[in-house]
Amino acid sequence: MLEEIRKIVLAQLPDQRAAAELDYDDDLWEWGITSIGNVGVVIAVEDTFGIEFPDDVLNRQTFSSIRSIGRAVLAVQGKPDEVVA
Amino acid sequence: VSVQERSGVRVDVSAADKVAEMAAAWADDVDRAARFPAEAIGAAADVGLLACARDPAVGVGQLARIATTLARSCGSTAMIWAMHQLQLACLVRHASTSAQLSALLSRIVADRMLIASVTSESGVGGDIRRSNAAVAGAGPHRSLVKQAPTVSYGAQAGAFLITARRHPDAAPADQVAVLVIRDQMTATASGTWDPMGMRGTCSPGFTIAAEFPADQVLAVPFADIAEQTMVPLAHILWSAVWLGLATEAFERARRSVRHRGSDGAPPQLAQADVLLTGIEAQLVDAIARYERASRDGAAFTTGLAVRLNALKLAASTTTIAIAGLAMELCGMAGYQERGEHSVARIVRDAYAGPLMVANHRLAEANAASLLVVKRG
Repeated sequence: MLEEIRKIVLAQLPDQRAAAELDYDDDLWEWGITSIGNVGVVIAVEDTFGIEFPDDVLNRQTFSSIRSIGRAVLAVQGKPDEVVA
Repeated sequence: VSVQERSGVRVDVSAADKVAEMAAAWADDVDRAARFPAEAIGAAADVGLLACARDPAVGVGQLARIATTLARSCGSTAMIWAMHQLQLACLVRHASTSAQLSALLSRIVADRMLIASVTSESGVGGDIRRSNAAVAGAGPHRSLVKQAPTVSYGAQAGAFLITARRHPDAAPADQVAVLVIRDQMTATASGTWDPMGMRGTCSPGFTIAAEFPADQVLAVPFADIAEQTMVPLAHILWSAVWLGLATEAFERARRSVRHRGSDGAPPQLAQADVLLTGIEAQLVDAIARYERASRDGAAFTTGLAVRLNALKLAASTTTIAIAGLAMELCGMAGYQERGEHSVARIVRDAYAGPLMVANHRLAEANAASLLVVKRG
């Protein structure tokens, strides 16, 4: 799952080095993702996993790293205890 | 429930009223000369109105109310007061854990200094969440140089809250805020200041070169300060200022129509009332949402950011529409620069609104966010 999210995130990152270097726990804002790029990630994650994030999940912290996005997906799917891998 | 009652605060409205009287007395002169409203800001300092945002008992609703009151007399005075409160609020909320910064803040308040914002920068396309300038230096000393295309009351401020990249190798969005006082820096004005409106804000460009102790860099990332305090409060307090301009334009038009004493009244008065009531309600709603989010300590959502951006878009553009209708209603007396039915200065001041963080940028951000924020 995290690899799928990583691909989605890479499509929104301007920095070419990200493809080789971006880790699951890296801060995406520090990698230079824009707020409009972040919206692109939300849409692609919702479409890919067939979910809708509730309004209170849509914040900077949730979308700060690939792993935190993975956790949010599992929470929406009703599987919050599953290990994000 | 009014904004004032909701915030449940001992409002010293009479103090704001006194400052507003002083602001009204000098507004024409300030506007004509494009000079700083020293009399009104001095009066605000005398009655303790400059330190409002430092008082935990003063709510956002009350700050907004004062901004609206001042703006009915002088848009520039109100905007300077609002921008200063905004900087003060950022420091109170995000710098009070540092003993050094707390001491500096106490000195700024005791010495009645204005705090100017140095967030804009040449070459970043108007995005305050990106910087070229960087904090440099090692050990206990730091320095930075920044070219800012606008610094309101930059020549009059005693302190400056400046954004820059965390260090020379940091990414453009990896920003910190730095509090610097005047004797730690040089500020060289660039260009001339002769704008259409908000002429008293004295907001030319400045090149800032500062040297300061390392502990004057706020520990909290600027991303958090911008998200939780600077951007929401800016949109709320600026909108409160524009609401004051719109209210004054409406009242002048209403009095003008009554003064003419014909039967009935032109429909534009009703149109202006619809618009005015809309932005009043939107401001109250945005303040309630913001205070709820601040109180709950929960993360600030994209949905809240959308509402606050929408407030700024609505208040800035609607104020221009209301001022335009008021000018039609007042006729030639409205078009005149002086007189009790003049709305000329209000119209000119109102046109600054859409430029203060460009509306097209906010509309683009909101349009994108609206693709994922559900209305339920």
